Amino acid sequence: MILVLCGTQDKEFKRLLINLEKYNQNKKEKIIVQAGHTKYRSKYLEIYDFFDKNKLDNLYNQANVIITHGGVGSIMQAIKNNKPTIACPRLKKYQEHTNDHQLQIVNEFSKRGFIIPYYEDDDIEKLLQKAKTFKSKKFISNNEEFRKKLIMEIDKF
Amino acid sequence: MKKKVMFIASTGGHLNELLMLKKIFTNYDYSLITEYDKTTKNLTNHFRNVDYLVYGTKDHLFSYIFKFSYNILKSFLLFLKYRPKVIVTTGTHTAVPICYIAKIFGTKIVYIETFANIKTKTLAGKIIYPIADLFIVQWEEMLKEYPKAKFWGWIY
Repeated sequence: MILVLCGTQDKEFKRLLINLEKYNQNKKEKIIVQAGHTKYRSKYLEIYDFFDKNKLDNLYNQANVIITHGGVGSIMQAIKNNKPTIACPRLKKYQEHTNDHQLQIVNEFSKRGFIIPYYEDDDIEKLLQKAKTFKSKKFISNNEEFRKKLIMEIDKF
Repeated sequence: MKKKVMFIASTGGHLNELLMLKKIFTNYDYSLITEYDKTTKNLTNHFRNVDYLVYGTKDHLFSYIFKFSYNILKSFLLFLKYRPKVIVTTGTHTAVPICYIAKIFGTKIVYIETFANIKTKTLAGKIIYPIADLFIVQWEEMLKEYPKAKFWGWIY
């Protein structure tokens, strides 16, 4: 099962779904989409708007591949679940986001070996092939360190 | 007596980052403030002292002006309700009114610039930086943008 995440922001990301629909017309793979505020219907994709946390966690667990917009939360959850992740940044020029920070994120994460980037003119079929053998760099959490520092600082106030 | 700490963030990614700190919430007499939407309405099942501001973004400028005004008023009421000694926020605009209101009353402001911005400042970051008692960045390059900030690495 391929899990597709469009994020929760109130901007559409039809471009990703149009490409996926084209891909799946002949393949008929199981593709579950969390479309958020993107209004799109397709007989080749199972499209939902939002999932609650438990349902979403289960889907991340069950998926073989994750295709996500360039949102940090979605990418991080995919990496932590150790799934091959393809990240497609929302672009300002298509009014998919208010700026291009997703492009920065996707570039940075790709550089560090965590994800496969899906840029505008890339072929999703080729990327999905790549995902079959993609070994993501192991993610080492900094969260505990961060929390410790914060507790120390709050104590000083 | 536990210190009163208010945790506040906009819905979506910013809240996601803030909730990475949830393990420390119970160290304090905490409150959790975010915007109300489909994804946040069940927070009350998992956390105590959850309150909501109205969801709005500057992309819909006309309605945003009304929503932001309402949020300023509500922020003031929330400040009076919880009287936090410290506010910890990951942004973005949602937190601006209450940080300024609380600062006047001597509350300490901790601002964590979002993980999502590797090279550029957020608007809320720019606005709160001058009044922050502790300003944290997650990417080293951001120290160039915020010289007085502390670089702590990823919140994740």
